Amino acid sequence: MTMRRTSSCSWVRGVVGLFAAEGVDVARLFEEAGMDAARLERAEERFEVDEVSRLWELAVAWSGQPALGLDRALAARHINFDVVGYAMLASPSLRAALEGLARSMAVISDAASFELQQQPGDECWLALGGLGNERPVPRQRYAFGMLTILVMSQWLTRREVRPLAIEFRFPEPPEAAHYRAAFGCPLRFSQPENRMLLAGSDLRLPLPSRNPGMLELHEAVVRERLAALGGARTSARVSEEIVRRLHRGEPRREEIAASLALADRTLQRRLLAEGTSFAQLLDDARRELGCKYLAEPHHSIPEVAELLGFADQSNFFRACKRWFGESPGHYRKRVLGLPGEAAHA
Amino acid sequence: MNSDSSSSWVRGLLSLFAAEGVDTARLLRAAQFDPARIDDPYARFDADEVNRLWELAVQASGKPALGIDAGLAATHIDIEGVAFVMLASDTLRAGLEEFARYLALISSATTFALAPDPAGAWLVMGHTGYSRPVPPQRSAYSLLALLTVCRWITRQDIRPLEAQFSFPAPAAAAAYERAFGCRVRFGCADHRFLLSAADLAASLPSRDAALLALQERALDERLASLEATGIGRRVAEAIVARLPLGEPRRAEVAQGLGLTDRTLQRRLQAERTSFQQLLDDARRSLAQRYLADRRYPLAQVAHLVGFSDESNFFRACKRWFGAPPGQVREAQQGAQPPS
Repeated sequence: MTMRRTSSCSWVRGVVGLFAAEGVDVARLFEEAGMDAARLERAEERFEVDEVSRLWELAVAWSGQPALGLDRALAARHINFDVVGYAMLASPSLRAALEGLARSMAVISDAASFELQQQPGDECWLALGGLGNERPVPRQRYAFGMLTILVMSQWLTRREVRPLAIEFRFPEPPEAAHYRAAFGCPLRFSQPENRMLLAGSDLRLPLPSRNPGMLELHEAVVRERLAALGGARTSARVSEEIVRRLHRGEPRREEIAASLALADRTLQRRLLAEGTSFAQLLDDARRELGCKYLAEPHHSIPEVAELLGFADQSNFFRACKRWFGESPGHYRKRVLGLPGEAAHA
Repeated sequence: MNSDSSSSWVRGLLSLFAAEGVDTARLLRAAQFDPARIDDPYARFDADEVNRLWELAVQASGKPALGIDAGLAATHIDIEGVAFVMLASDTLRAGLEEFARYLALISSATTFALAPDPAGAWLVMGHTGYSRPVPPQRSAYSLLALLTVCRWITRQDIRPLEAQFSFPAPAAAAAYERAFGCRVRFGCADHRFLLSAADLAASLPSRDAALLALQERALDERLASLEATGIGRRVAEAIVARLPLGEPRRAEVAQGLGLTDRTLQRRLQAERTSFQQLLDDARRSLAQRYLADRRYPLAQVAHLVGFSDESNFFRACKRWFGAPPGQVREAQQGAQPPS
């Protein structure tokens, strides 16, 4: 019962607008990706994550720019956070706006997760996670996602917001100089998460556009959209929490129940009512993330096992056999089209 | 309708003044503003109050070009919910049309029009409803705020083709050219700037037809309730004008205001008042004024406040002032110094 993960039409329209500004022929791009460009004009449309990844891959290849999208001015001109952006705009402070984003990220893309990690001092990490369906997510998408959050913060506060540091999961890319220019802060690669550190003084900035009436209006729309996406279901929320925690080890049910402010028994009862269970959701999440990480060659197999929260390799191997009917190594070779395996798919 | 500005606009102004180094607490005291009004989202500020605030701020800052700085304007302007409908519009031009439609929410003391020009359109702003002259800085800031909004919603550095002001060239004219990013002419007929057709046609990255419809509904409601706040006063004025002709009928007053009787009732109800209440208030304050003036015999006062017979007037006086008209008059005379 794996859920198809999708992004909102407004978001994709913004990304495509940016590609066009970078000289990419959008009509051809959609044709090549086997997608109907008319979908961009339908506000209710959702795009599958793998479709968006496909657009990114083609656009990066055609533009010949490995740092595609990593331009503050361009990103500032094109990003669109859909109704979530409007709710953020009406929020009292930057922190409140970002907390709103964390709650409603699924409206923009339920393939992405976003959380605020308050540090003991005054600082706060903004962590951006993401999931594909089957296709690996190009690193440009993560970098662009991070840049849009920075640019959005500036647009909301109408001030220069300077991150203290940024970390990416992927290894240092050849185009790292572009990253430095775009983010203007210390960067670290090959880290456990994609995240950005903001100062408390920036997070406390009041928004000039704060407006309680408009906040209420747009949050109501956000709630409707989340409900329509299934975000109101306990199982979807549990899955998100699992994904968020897996890299720190196998999450315990009681812990997740507590984070959703539910009693453990209530959680169990609700999941049962939705025709699933905690163990099932944990297995689904691991399988989904397993597909993704195995398709990203920079993760070693032991690393993948760890990222999926397996305490030892043999459990990971057994799970892979069950999921894919083959070992992690075989699965990886097959999806990456590496030699040594018949390409009869 | 009264000409006034929203508290959020005034709050934006105060934060701008503060950024320019003005001690706003002192400014509010000097202008005799109650600070609580600034934080009240429903408070409105009279056109002359805003003029006074600008005069004092220009004086206190010692900056003749106070506020004429595009960066500062960008950080401080607050145009209420109107920003949201502008953002959700299809193009800059459509956004400006929304601005015209809902401008009264920000300030009913400000006028705005899009005037066609072969090159594009002039964005013309003016001020109404004041008795105190509008400081040039205030006019310039309104126009700059509008340009800033254009830049913010298009997310592009929009540059007008030309800007014009009605006041003579100030010493700080260079600050105007810097802020507007174009040629600025002074001593013209209007306060306005010209945008190119291409800029006006720019499609907005945040356009969203479905949200726009929702936002318009919310703003229409606010606009209606804002207009309704004027209705009590307008009814009271109509009552006063008609009282010497006898007790005015509600239906008659409604007709005079171009409203159906039911709409009038509903709007008065929304203001937590009624025709009967307004009639009684009008009679009481008029009676007080006439009773203080010996030139009007008591019988005539009864007639002037619309009572068909004196006994009704006597009863009303007892209710209002706790005494019959003759005693009220005596008491008022006694309280006044001999002239």
